[in-house]
Order: sequence, then structure tokens, then C-alpha cells
Amino acid sequence: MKRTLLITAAMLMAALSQARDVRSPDGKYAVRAEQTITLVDLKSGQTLLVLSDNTTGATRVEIAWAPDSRKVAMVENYPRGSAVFAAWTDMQNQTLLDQAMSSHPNGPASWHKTLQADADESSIIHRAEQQFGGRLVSENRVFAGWISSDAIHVKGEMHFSSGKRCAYQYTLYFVTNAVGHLDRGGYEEGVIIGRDHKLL
Amino acid sequence: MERSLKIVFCLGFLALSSCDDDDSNATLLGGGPGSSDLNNIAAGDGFCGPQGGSQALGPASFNSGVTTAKIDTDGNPLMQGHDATWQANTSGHVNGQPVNSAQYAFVVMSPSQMAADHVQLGDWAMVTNTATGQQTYARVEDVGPEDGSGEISQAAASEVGIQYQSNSFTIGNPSVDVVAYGGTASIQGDCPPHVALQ
Repeated sequence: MKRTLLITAAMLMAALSQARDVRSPDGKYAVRAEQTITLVDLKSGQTLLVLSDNTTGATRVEIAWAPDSRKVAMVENYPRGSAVFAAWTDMQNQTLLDQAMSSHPNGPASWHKTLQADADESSIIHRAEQQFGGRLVSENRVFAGWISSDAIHVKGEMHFSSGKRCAYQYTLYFVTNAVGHLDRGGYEEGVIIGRDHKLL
Repeated sequence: MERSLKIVFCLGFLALSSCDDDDSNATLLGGGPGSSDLNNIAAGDGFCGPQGGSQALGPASFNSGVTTAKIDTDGNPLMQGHDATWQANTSGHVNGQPVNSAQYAFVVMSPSQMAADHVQLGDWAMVTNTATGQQTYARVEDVGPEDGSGEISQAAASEVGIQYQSNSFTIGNPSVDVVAYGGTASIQGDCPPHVALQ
């Protein structure tokens, strides 16, 4: 069952002044949208990580939990650009021994955050620029549904300096066993990868 | 079960008009010797440089590498109707107003670049014309598309000697190197105080 809630705020500050929780399907976690976007443990109230530390200028933020509640994806849209962020937990991979040895055996799961690097989209952007002319001026993206617990469809639109637009889509895969590169923002890059890009 | 929440902070992406890319009608606007455009700014306008200079900024957290220069005219009301991709607003603001491209030297980064390199709107940046070595300080004041780099304001282009047409297309194929300094937004500019008139 897909539950979608669309909250429209007439004024940005009005929207940001109130926290909006997007709960995981199992009800244990929530992504909290305020001036920052955080992942919180609902039982303890603890902030597990900051998914995005500043939404200034953002026009739209979409959050989609995976059916297994172990992954969450977020797309932030600005008037001329967008970015895809995600978080995941590897708690399920812990052995009973790991959990017994943990200093917080009943504590919150360990979560990680990642983002989709721009380089991931370079190929489709260059192909579209050649086909439609001019340089990419703006783009935006939306989620189009999880196809498994590890993959979600993404759809987007690109606008070029030629005045032409094109729609495109791809599938964003979580490769949580990949060795990610930790960037300055604290994101483990390389864990979410866009594949099967298509111009529509 | 999939649960998703879409938070729409403001509805309506700006509708962009079709592009008039007829260069023959283009008017030379920015930068370089012989330019007479009113949009050009004199040194000292806009953001100036950071107090304490480059030492106050510390190491760069983002470096575009050598990339093709592109002009972002957003925030400059005079560019409406000239630049097909023009937008009235910019992601960053100065005194609550969009950042005027002709008045302020600023650079554009994608949201992913900003997040990955811990750069936020208002952070200081440096633009270098890789052909001439001319440099100017700027701030990060607009958010652009993914995989974009080298997009700079009219003022930044003028200050490093890059010329462009009224449709915002650059003259020739100039290259720039843009670096940004995360966590430096609070550093004030070193603009000289206005001299009170007697």
C-alpha cells in the first residue's frame, strides 16, 4: 500500500517552523523535516543523523521509506537543481555476538548517510545536452516508487539553454556492501548508484 | 508498504521561456577592455573580499577544476527578456533580496556538491580565469543543476575579464576554476566604509 501525504505550505518559513515527521513503515524511525532534515529514533527521541543540514532555498523535499524500514531516500529540489540523499542501517547484518558485545545492545541501530554524486549523472546529462542542444540549465527529480527494498525509481526533467526540455528516468540502487568514500559532508559516497538511465 | 511524504515548500517551478539563441541580435555586455555596459561593477561593489584575506578562509573545500565558464544572470532584473534562462530569484539572498548578478560576484553550485563539500549559501569562493590568471572573490549564492560547475555571476565574470552577450552566452570559450570555502559565510566582507559627504 502506498501512502502519500502532500503538504503544501504557502510560505517557506511557515513550513519550516514546524517539524514534519515521516515515519518508517515499522514505526521505529522518522525523518524529521525542519530547517534541517534529520533521522530520529522515535522510541528514544535521539537524533541518529543529519541527512541535510540546510534546506535554505529548497522548494520541495520528498522522502520515501523502503518497505523494510532499513533504507530511506530523499530528494531535495531547488528552483534549478536537485540532489538525492539516502540513509540506511546495517543493523540486520549484526550477529547475535555483535549485539551482545555492543556497549548499547538495546540502543538505536547504526545508521549511515549517503548521497548520489553528480558524476553519477554525467553521462545522461551529456547525452541529453547533445540531443536537445545547449547546456543543462535546470533539473528536478521525483521518486516513482520502490521496486524492491534496495531500489527505487527516479524520474526527472531537464531544461536546456536551447529552450528544450526532456524527461528522463533511472533506477537508484542501494549497494550497502560497497566501500563508500567518506566526503567532507559526512556522506559515504558510492553506496547509492543510478543505473538504467533513459531519456523519455 | 511504502510510505512517502512530499513536502512542498513552495509550489510551482518557474516557467522558463524558450531560448532565443540568435547570436546576431546579441549585445555585448560584460567585462574586458572596451566594455561599456552599465551592468559592469567597479571593484569595491558587491561582496568585496573576506576580512583577513585568504588566510581567514583556510583551505578550499570544493574545487571545480578547469571548467567552461557559464553566466548566471539570475537576480538582475535588467536581464529579463534577454536571457532565456533568467530567473528573478536566487537561492541566496542579500538583505532579504535576490542577489543581483550584475552587482555581486557569486558562484553557483549543485546541491550535491554543496552537501558533499560542506558548503552552504553565503560561503566565500574564488573564481580564476584560467587563461589570464585574473581572480576575484565571490560568494556561493545560487544553486544550480547537478554536474554543473563554472557558473558565475555577471559581476564575477566582469571582474575576471570574461565577456558575454545579452543572452548570457560567453564570448569565446573561456575557462574558469572555482573554489569554495565551506563554513566561511560568517566572515564579513572588507568593503571600505562609505565616506560621509560634507
